[in-house]
Amino acid sequence: MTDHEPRELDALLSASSPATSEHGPVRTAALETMARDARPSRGRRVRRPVLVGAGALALVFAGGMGASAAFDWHLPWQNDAAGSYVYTLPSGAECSGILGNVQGPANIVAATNAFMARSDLLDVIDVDAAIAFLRANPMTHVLPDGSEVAVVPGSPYWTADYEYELAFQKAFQDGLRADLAAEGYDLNSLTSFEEGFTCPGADNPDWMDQAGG
Amino acid sequence: MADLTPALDANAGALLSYLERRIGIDDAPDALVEVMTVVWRREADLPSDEIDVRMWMFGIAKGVVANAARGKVRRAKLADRLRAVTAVSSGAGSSGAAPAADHGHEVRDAISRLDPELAEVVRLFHWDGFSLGEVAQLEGIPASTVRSRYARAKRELATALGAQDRDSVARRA
Repeated sequence: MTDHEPRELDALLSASSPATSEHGPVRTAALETMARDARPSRGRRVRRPVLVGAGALALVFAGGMGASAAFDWHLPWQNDAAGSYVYTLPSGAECSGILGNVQGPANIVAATNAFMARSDLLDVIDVDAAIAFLRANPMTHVLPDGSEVAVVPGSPYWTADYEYELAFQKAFQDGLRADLAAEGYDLNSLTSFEEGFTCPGADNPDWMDQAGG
Repeated sequence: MADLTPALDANAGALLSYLERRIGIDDAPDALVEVMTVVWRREADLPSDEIDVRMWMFGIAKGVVANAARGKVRRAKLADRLRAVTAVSSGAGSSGAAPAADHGHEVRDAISRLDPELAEVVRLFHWDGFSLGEVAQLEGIPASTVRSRYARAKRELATALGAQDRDSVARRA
């Protein structure tokens, strides 16, 4: 074969499709379950361990399970949450959240749960440092056309609330990493933890609504 | 506005296959969680027409793939069950998995060497089963542009694969 006739080329191209998983009732059932489980509960968001941050301003920690415990997070572990928090965004809107469902080696899980339960959690995490980091290392946002834009102050993809919210998440993860390191543990050894949080009335960038962020 | 649950059920399989072809079977379930999460949050935007629903969901999936290319696919617990199923079904000896992984290796390489805009038209048309009109809709470009990109891609692929064949023959001789 030294040349490709159109039909032959079409067949080659169609046959070059990478492998996909086997279609069948088990796959279909798993997809149907995922479609329903992915439905977000109103006012609740869940984040996985990989947190990135940015932001600054007053923090108010509710402590214990406080007000957050009364909120129905629609999370299966909400009654066993390790800790909760409340803080105020630059706009004055309030964010509250719960932390828990920590998975991994038992000793690291215990240390993580203890960190999450600290009553002085907001005193031991450094949100200002996280904001400084994020401003020095701005995140990028991918536009629908594939181009990337920097999420920096003054751009339409940035708001002070969004920056603060991200900074809180980064500061929490940095604080947890340092706390575990002080006990000789590596955060990366943790399998996962979850967080449910809600920030009603927060001034978020428009793209978050459009992208479902 | 259409009902979202049956719309997701109708398109989830195709979306998963699309993601598997673009970012691999391992990462696709996590990416699909992201797609579904965005779809749910944008429920109010769901088109009423079935075809438009499909294009809308694939448009969201395209954005997730773009993020995945930048290493932004996050492991999601919601994906665990599906990952367990797809990991097993894509393993050696699977009878129903679509084309074997290495079957079109040389052709995929040739496609990947095309200009990205040309390559994506070929993938969407030949791998994902979109018509050229649908490719235009998904890419947000005129149909005439898609047709000319496709024609150019085919010419370049015919040349590349023809040369590859001649090289193979020469090596075997």
